[in-house]
Amino acid sequence: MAKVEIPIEVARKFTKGVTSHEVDASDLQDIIISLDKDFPGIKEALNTGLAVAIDSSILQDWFLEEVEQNSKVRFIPAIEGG
Amino acid sequence: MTLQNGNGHNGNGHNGNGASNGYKYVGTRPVRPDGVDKVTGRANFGADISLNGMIYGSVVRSPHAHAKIKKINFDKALKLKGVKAVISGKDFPTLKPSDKLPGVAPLSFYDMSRNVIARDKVLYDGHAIAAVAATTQAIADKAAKLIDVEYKILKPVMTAADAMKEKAPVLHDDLFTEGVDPTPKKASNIAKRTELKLGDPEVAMQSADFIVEGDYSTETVHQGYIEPHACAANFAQDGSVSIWASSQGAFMIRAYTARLCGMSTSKIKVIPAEIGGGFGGKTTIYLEPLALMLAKSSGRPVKMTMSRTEVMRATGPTSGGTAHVKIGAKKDGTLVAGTLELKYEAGAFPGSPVALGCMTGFAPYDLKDVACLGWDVVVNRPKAAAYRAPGAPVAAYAVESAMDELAHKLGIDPLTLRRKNSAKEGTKAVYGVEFDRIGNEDCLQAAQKTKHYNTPLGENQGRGVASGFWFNIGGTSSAEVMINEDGTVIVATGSPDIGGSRASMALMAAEVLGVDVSRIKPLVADTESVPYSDLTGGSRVTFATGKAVIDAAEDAIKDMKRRAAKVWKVDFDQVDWENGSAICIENDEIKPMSVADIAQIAGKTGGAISGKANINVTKGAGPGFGTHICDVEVDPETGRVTVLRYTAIQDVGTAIHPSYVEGQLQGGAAQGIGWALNEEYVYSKEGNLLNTGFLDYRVPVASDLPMIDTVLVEVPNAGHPFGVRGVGETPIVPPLGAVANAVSNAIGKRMTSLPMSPAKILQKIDAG
Repeated sequence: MAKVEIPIEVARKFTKGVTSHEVDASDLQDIIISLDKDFPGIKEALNTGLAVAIDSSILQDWFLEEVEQNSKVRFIPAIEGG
Repeated sequence: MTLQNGNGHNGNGHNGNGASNGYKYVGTRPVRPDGVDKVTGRANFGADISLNGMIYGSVVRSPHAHAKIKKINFDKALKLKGVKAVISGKDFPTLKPSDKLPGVAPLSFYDMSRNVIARDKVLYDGHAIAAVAATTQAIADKAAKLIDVEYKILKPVMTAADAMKEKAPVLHDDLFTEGVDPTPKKASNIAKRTELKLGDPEVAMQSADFIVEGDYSTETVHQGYIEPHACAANFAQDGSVSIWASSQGAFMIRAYTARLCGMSTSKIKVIPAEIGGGFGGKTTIYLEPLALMLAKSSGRPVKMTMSRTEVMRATGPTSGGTAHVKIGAKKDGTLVAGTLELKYEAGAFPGSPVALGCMTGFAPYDLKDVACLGWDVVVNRPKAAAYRAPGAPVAAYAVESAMDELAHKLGIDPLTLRRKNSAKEGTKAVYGVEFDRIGNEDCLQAAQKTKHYNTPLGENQGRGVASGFWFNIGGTSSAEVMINEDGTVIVATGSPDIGGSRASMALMAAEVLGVDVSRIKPLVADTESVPYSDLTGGSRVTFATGKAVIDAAEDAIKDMKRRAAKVWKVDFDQVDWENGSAICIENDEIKPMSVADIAQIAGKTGGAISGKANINVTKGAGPGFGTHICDVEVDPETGRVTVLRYTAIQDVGTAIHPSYVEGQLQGGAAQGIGWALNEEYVYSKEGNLLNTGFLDYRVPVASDLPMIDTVLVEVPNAGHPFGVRGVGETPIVPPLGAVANAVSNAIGKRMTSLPMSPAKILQKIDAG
């Protein structure tokens, strides 16, 4: 099971404030689909303005990246630069 | 000075024997390829373009900070001889709030369009309302003054504190705070709330022996690039458009302009001009859609150039903001908890970098219990644009000031306190991600060992230190390596060179190909000559576009090895590449073929030779950490600050061209010193910007600064073949705190508001 952390603002709106979730998924799309089944509407929130960190790697432009069984997946604010 | 803290960064076989780091070309300091043209005035910048039949554009800008546009009358302007076209917001497609850039960054084309040219409302002094094109610049400027605009003036709101008040004038009646649940039904100026948290800082704070807490504020500052925005557009008979422009991204201009003008990107070609500084401020568009629409309307190519006043009034500065910081520590200096609340002014449309401030402020420290809360607030100032490490300097200023105060309270050396609590490999940042190998501790250690840090100070002098962090990013990049008939090499990328990246591209290609760097010509290609590349920003080009160049060079080598195998009549796998030549592995009697040898017979072995790479570097960007040391002297009678000595220490990964890496550190420090001491937007009560030129918006000049010393700490990034980390943004993060701490230590009182003008310093001294 991947350990998934979602932002506090998203959690407040969709998951009654729970930010940590365990999801059985093999890639990021599966995680989004799985979370959206449990928390309808969260898919759009997670797809807007958020980057993803899988363990220590931050993915700015993510889509189908694979996740390991014990991966820590975090949705974080997108990083822009000057 | 360079310190190599390497852990084996010759990892992928690109070994050489010319530079001290084990490479032949990487780490050397050749003259930059674009240098001679720039110092002799031959380089063509945005305003240098001249086209057959070209006419000139001028923009009508709002004299009011907040007003409704009741009516625009073009009659008088159109009667002026020489006027060829006029446009207003009505000439552009109407976009909806849902019109956003697909992907991660929630860029709003709805807002961008209304920023480029106002529709029903002006939202800041200088907001574009209309534009005119005429046969000369003088006629265009005169015509612009003849365009009558009727306004209903509204009360402006100029600061985040005022804008957040219950009864503040509201800029947008369709703006409802994001990030709160339920979403408010009443429109306000608070665009977004962002919260990040690790552990339970409130509980942890209770275990602290010492707590420091304070409020800090900064003002709106501009990037201060030397070259004003400029472009030219031509609208051809077949409906295709060419745009010549100075920017940080030709593909960015193409995509944004197409969207705002209702065109397909395939109809627009953008030719990048040289760029005279960007620092993030040229990662968006202002003039290009106006020039395009004027060209379309007039049937003539249109050139538009901003004056400095226009740049200051109407292009993206970075947010001013306030910070409330609280840090708790044990007697021995161990940090137990930290909290930070940031309120950033986004300007007229949402999108301040406050979330990035939240993510970065405490990043140099290992804190298990930490929280950051950010507020993105719209005010009647120009829309904030990116500026080196967006959002990080203001947050770092507050945290680093508090760390200095804490060091004093605890009686611990400020660098020792930082080292005791420094983020290391495995430390989890407040945004939840654990760092890989980073050079934070290495920088602090290097700082402590500098001669600078160990030199005694004199009377009225103070020393300040501060740390800073920036993520660095990757992104989409393309490159083509083309072998000329004489064996010289062209390296084409789509990444505008804003900081010496052409030299870095040439060095990396030289290292891979084994060709002398003087035989490599790097160039920045237009949008129809190379595949898509993300803009130059986020300290990504040497890292990500560099990776593309490496891949493209390896692709070219593969092609050249194939040609050699063909000539030698051996299998491909019998050919290796060594020191710029193909060699036959099993038959050393066969004379190696150099790039020039292979290029000479390219026609006989299959035609021209090139290598290509189109990649999206989604991960592997190594974070950057830096520590700065600043010495100042404060004149107690006048409050004048003289910066006596300044040293910037940074983990830069492998420095591909050390001179330009040092230049990045020096430039970041210089800009940060200006931010700390002099720079601010000064507005009248009515919301009009009063200091629109470099005489009264005071950026530091050479005579204001000492030599900025640099120490390059080279901790290679495992995510890049040569160990590259982005370096362009981290150096602007520590200076605000370093200078503020130096001034505070010189006068014996904490400076909590930037810029630290002589008047503010005297007021602090006189406060007793």
